[in-house]
Amino acid sequence: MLPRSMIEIETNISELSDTLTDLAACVELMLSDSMTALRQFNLPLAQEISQRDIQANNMQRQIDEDALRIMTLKNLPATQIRKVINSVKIANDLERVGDLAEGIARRIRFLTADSSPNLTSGIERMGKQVAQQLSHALDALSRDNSVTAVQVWIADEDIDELYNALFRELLTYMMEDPQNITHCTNLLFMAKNLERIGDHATNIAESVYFTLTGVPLIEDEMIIKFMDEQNRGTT
Amino acid sequence: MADSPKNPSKDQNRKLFWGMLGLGLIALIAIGLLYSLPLFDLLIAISLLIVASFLIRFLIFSPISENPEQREDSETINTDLDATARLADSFNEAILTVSPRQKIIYLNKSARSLFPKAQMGQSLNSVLRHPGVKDLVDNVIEGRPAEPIIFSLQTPVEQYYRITASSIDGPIPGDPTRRSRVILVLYNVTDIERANTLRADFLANASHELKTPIASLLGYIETLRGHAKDDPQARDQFLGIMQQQAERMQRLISDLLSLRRIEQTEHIAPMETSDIYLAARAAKEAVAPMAENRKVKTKYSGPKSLPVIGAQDELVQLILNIVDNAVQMSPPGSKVLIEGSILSNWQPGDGFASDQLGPDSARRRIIEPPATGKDYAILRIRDSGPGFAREHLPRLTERFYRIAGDRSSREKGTGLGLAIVKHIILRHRGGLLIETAEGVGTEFVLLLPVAPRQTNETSQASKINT
Repeated sequence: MLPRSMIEIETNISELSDTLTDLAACVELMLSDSMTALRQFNLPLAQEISQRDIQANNMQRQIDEDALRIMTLKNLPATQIRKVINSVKIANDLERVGDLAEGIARRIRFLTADSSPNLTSGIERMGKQVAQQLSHALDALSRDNSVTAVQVWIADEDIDELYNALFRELLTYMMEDPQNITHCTNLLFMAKNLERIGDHATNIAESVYFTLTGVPLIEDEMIIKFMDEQNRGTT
Repeated sequence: MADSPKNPSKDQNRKLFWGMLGLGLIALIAIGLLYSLPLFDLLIAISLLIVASFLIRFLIFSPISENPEQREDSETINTDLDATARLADSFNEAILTVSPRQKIIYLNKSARSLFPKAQMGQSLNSVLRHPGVKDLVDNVIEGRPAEPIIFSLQTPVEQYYRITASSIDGPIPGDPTRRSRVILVLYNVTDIERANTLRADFLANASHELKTPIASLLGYIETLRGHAKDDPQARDQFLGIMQQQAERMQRLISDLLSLRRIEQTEHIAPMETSDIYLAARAAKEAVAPMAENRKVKTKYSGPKSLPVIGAQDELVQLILNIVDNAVQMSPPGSKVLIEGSILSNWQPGDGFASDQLGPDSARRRIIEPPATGKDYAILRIRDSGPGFAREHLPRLTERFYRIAGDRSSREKGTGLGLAIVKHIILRHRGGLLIETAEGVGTEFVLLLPVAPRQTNETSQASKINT
């Protein structure tokens, strides 16, 4: 039989991770909905995303409060402390992702509906990749998988490159015709938000890796190998 | 029943029994005759023999020969749970059962393969990460109407599922503390979702890309009907351009259609075995006239058989798209090299050849092969064309992406070739790596999963290459 305090700790922590998964699910849907809204120029859906952001903020606050309460429990083992702190950090990242997705949704109505499909398709493509990154990072979290976390970290390089390419492309459109400037600036902000979401996904992957291994992710063998390859051609 | 053709083994056993009895009798009579025993002793011997043979029959043969139907029935009753699990496993749809507190208590075979890391007792929302799932289950438990939700999975390819839920134990009247378990069924609706987005994409792409050539055709037609009406020289020249434009539109439409077809089946990996060497040879033959025209040579080196899991005509299309590009990019007098080999036990980071294009080349892993530790067939296609800058690498496989200033491809290509390449690789669960160095050339590395059965051949092939 476990002592009562242990059972109390277990239940509290499992409740905390349940709320965290709820927050993750909510934020993930916000991001994919923002891309759908952009593709379909769906303004009601964009409105819905703003509503969800309020929910996400509440959940994050809930996690903060619960974590504080757990920390005051007696006999909290070290691994559990790491888990609680990790949850708070990840919740913080997720809440930011929610804000950024909401930022994208808010800009959709400033776009001109009949613009060239090629302009928004770059953003959609990037959005898809970022959503995948976030999904993988959250999989790493729910499945305690450090390998997936490493893969997320490596793939972030792709998103940065994609962002740079997109930035250059949008700049050419603006130089071609000043009438494009409003439209393209909004798209640029969206791309910037997506790039930030990608960074938060990487943060989550780092937190997951550290909780599982106790070693910073940068010191992983595969990362070092990858960095070596990446340094080719840039020097 | 005994003569029923369904039970040949039963018949055989019966024959065996009578045969043994007959043999025993003959032997006994022979012994009796030899030793001229009295008749009484003979009768006792016969009855003993009969008893013995009955004993043999029941002890040894009866469990199999007598009543198989009855045996099966009792097994069904005893292993009722097992049969239900087998029944659930036979469904293509993923089926999950959760406790009233939304913890997983059962997964059928499809669900287990869909969520390989899911464990019994894990909470549902950590497996099906969707904000609507919790409400769906709660609504079912409380007996409220429950709208099915659409759930999307990102790995290994985008998939969509429609989730419906229903209560297993039904409402439990008069006892609010007891809540029902819930069964969730995931229907794969990827086809429908994909068809919807693809249709929209197709229309947008087609109308946007056809606008320009049609506008130019109209311009020429107007000129031909107007002031170039009686100018035979201009007419010939314009008709030539118009033909080129029309041919480009035709290529564009056929590329768009094949891209759409591949995308539509992308979530279903091919099952059949094909030979990537034969595909490379077919592609080589197809570009031969153009290569001759441009005075470019194509050369294959490697094993003469590279069996992979794949659809042969898609593999030909895949290699043809790359080789065709390579031939067009190569300066006259140069070579396009195609190298086949086998890479056993693939690990993340493997695949690039060492320093073929000099130390300053830009590399990018467009698609990582999904399965670590598996064997892949590799095809490297290298040209000595102009190469391109690093910044183009991330967007190279995007549809209609063109390297700025590349006038020749704008005229000839449809801008869809590498998009098709990418989607064929994705469907085959393979890998695509690109290495390029400006002024030196470009190398495409294709990785395709090795077909499992020909283990002897592949190990031979890898021996040749290593």
